[in-house]
Amino acid sequence: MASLRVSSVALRLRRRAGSGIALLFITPYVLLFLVFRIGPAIAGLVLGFAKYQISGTVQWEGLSNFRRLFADSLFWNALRVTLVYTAIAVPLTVIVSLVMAQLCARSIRGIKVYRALYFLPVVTSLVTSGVIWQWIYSSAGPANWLLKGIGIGSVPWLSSGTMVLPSLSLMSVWTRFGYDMLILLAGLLAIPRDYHEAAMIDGASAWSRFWYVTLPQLKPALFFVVVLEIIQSFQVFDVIYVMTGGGPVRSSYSLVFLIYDQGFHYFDFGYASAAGVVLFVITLVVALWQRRLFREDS
Amino acid sequence: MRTLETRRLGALVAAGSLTLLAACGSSGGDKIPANAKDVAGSVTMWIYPIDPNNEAAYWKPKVAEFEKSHPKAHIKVVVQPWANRDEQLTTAIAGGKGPDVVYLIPDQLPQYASNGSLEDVSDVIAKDRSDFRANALKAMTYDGKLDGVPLLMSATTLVVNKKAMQAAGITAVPKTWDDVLADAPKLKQAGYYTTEYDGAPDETLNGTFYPLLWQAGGDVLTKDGKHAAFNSAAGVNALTFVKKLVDGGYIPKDPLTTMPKAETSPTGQGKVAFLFSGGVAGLPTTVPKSDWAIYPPLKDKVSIGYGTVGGLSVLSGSKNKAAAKAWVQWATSAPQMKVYGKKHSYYATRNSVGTLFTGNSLDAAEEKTLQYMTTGSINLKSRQLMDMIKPHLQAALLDKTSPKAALDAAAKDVNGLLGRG
Repeated sequence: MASLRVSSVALRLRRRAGSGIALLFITPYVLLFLVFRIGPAIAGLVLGFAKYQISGTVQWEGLSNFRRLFADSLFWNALRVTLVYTAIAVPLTVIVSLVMAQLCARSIRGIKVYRALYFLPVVTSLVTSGVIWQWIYSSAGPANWLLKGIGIGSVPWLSSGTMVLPSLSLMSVWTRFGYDMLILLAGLLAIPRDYHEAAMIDGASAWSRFWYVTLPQLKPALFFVVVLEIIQSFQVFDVIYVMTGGGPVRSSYSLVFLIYDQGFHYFDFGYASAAGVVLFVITLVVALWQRRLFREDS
Repeated sequence: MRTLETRRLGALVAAGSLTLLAACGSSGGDKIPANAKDVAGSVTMWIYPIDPNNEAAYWKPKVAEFEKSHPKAHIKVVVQPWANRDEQLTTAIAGGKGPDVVYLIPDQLPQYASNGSLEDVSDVIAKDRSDFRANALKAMTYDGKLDGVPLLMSATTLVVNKKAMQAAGITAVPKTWDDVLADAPKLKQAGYYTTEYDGAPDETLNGTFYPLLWQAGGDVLTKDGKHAAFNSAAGVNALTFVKKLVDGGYIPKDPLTTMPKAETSPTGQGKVAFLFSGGVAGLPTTVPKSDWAIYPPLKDKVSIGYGTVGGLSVLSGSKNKAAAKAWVQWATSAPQMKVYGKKHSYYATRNSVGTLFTGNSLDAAEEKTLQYMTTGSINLKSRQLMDMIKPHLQAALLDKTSPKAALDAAAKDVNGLLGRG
């Protein structure tokens, strides 16, 4: 009895020591997260209700930044652009990533090389990618050369208000799919082969196996990818900054571009923060709604 | 009631005394010591690649020279990239990590001056103020306060590709917009674009629309700076002129919406005949210099171009203002200015420096055009105004609306912004 008590105490102590070590490991990250993420986020939230000058003066403004924002046609245009971009880029990226993950899940010769190659755009500098894609889309670039060759004619990829968002989405797919593909690939490889074998024995077609076996099993990974892509799309800036600068005629002027302009071009930090708060609320609502949707479906 | 008034008065007196004390303290510590040996402390200067390849190399011996004569001072010159320079500077100032001295141009100045980030530097040039060109000082002044000491001047004017003119059989260099419109079909026939109009959102209107607006006799804002004036008949003429060139296929279409890299741009490939707002410093290295020639700015009603002034400003957050001012005084002195201008192909803001370039060089030709230059009106919101106008200009050039309607819509936005105060 006594030895049992001793061993349970030892176990508790070991557990406590273990959690202490774990705490030690996560503390630096938590601290950095608090200082560089949570801190600025709270500061941004507060600044949304203030007028802030870089000399350090902060003046309480109440809701005036938000009132101005909701009356600003530029804000509504930026919101529309962001939503349209998200509606195009997210499904496109997820579908391409899923298809590529399926292809890369096959055990063919040299598949690891392909996987690495597909990941390359993710680690390529966005400025470099932007310059390359700008050239691809230019009047004399390969995209138009190809289209002219097959008799379609030249397409104003970046100079037309209608074409600019699909064109940017296409570039975004190229830069993003490698990362999503890896996550989905990990999910695919984790699905037990028995499930597919059982379905094959039951005579399920390739499509049925994908629809009834792969997709439900892939749901957590898919959820993660979709949420990630939506957040990324809502925050789209760099691609636009490099490729179009928000044009033509503000057809690609996103919400984050507006925040950037107001904050760093015009030094209107309070107004920029208010726009940031609105963007945060929209993203949060979409993410929560999505989570609920996935849960209900499960 | 009486108590409240007494309290208010007391507070006012206290505030006034504090201000007076602060002012006294500040003037004493910020004054440049009479003896160079008494100039002490570390000064960091942010400059930009005005000479894209050798800016840092230029300053190294200069710092050594200054430190030799000012043994207690330590100067650090940091060459920052042009890209996102306002973002970088703003963030640094906000974080209390700004430099002591920074290179600024008139476009940027009001934003920093209006929020108290810049120190009055009139004492730096107190002894020889009259030596500076009046327009250079005006360009570095905001709200009656001198916020930077002018270091250099530049000009943007008509730059001609002689090879293109020769190929098109054009013998006379255009002087007016009508001349340009007459030359355009000949150039197209010879396989050249008449000009390149950079309409991308990141391009400054100082190098595109504004000079044309001024040439047509118009201006961006009314004299009091409170209302838009660019939607006048002059503005419509200027935009219609560009649109005619676009519609005729005399201007490459891509640069209307995206900013091409200098080397791959039509100008960089030698396919453009005239640069309406060109300059020696900005000429692409991909085309031999011998292909270019420089002439006075075009005119519709007035021959005028955009010229900028670059100056050194001392930041209010500097802990060594006296040393910073001493450095600025030395770096903008006549002998230093002369060397700097010669080395960088820019022009002096001091009359005593005189003409820097002679002979038939491009620099000499450009220096002669300084008389045609304006920096435009200095406005706190000048950059924001440009960002508001640009999409409307683009809309007209991309055939989405007429020049008049585009400018009126832009004016409505601009008036809204100016009205907000």
